[in-house]
Amino acid sequence: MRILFINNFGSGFADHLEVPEGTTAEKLFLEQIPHGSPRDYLIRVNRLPVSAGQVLCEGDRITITPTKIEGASS
Amino acid sequence: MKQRSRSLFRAASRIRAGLVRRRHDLTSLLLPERQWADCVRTLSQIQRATRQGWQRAAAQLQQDLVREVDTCRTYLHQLSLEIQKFAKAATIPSESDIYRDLLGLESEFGEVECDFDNTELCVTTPDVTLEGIHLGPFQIRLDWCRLDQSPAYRVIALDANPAESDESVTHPHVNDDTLCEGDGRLALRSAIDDGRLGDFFLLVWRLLDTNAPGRAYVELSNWHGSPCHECGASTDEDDRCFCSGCDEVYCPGCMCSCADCDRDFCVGCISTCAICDSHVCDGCRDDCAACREIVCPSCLTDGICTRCRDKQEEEEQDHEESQHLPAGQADTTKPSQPVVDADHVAKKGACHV
Repeated sequence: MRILFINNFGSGFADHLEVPEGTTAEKLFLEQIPHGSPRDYLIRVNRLPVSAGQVLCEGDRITITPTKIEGASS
Repeated sequence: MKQRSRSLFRAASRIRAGLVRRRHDLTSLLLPERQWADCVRTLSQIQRATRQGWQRAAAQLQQDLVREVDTCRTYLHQLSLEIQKFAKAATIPSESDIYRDLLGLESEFGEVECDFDNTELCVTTPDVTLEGIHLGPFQIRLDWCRLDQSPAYRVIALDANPAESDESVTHPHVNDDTLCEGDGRLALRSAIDDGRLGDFFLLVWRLLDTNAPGRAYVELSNWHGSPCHECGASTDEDDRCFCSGCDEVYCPGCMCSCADCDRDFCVGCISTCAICDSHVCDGCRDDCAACREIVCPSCLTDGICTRCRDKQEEEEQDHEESQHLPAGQADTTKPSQPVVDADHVAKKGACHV
């Protein structure tokens, strides 16, 4: 099935991905950010917070945003 | 449709129009008019040279024309790439998509305010507290008529607790209602480019909820005071000292008093007397005319420090004793005098050595 994956880490990007049926939000996260911890990110599916075990559906929009982003002074 | 939904949908429509303007802003593109004018002029010169029978001139101008046409072609190719870049960009979200983003924002942040008078979409963050310092909630105001400009949004502290040293700094990374985006800059740009409003506000909120020590307008460690110019320690209003020399702020530990005038100075604006080790400011210090060391007024007499004066007296005494020795044992050498800088003495006034 096809989903929209939006990664707000770094320069930020949005991309369509093919994922197997039954993929959970956590599984997708670990595949896309293998060295990251879900605790350090806000994970939204279709603009709403979800549990780690949420099963993704065709056409879902998954967004991950780091909880900490460092600003600057100039 | 309820009044609230109508308002959000109306805002979504305005925001989409702003995104369309941003996407189709080709005003910065320039056609190669000057380069084309060069081609036209050179061709006209070739035709004139040919009519006159100036074959060599015509051949030379023909080479010029080839070069100018190539330049024109290069410009047009680059222009074509630029225009294609605009066309290839992600599609602009529909009004429904933007409307759903606004609903998502309401579930994330509570009510979303649509300020149609100021053309701003306003979202209020939860209270922000960084390293124990309460900075209050912030309102993020995105101007949908300025989406093609940077920055297109303002960050207003609703219960401002600004830095003591600078009231325009309401957050370590916010100055004059402008957020310095740092590591979030590209992601924010991408979110606005794609019209992902939910992501945009979420990113700004996460930036506001993060402190980056060493990259702040005012460090949180100095939020309720001013940093000491010497050691960096925060000094509150009661402890704050100002150097009489450079006028910078210092903590009490980095200040010294001049032993002569009692005024306070930082360690960089005060010297140490070479004789008694007391602190002496630039206005009170003097240089010994003999050894050129810095000395305080108490350790200086007639331009000579006490150490040089003692040495001089010892040598005079030795000389006098040698005068009273039996003939043949007398020391014929003159007592050595401290070497005195004549200019220095003249400058400082009387010096009876």
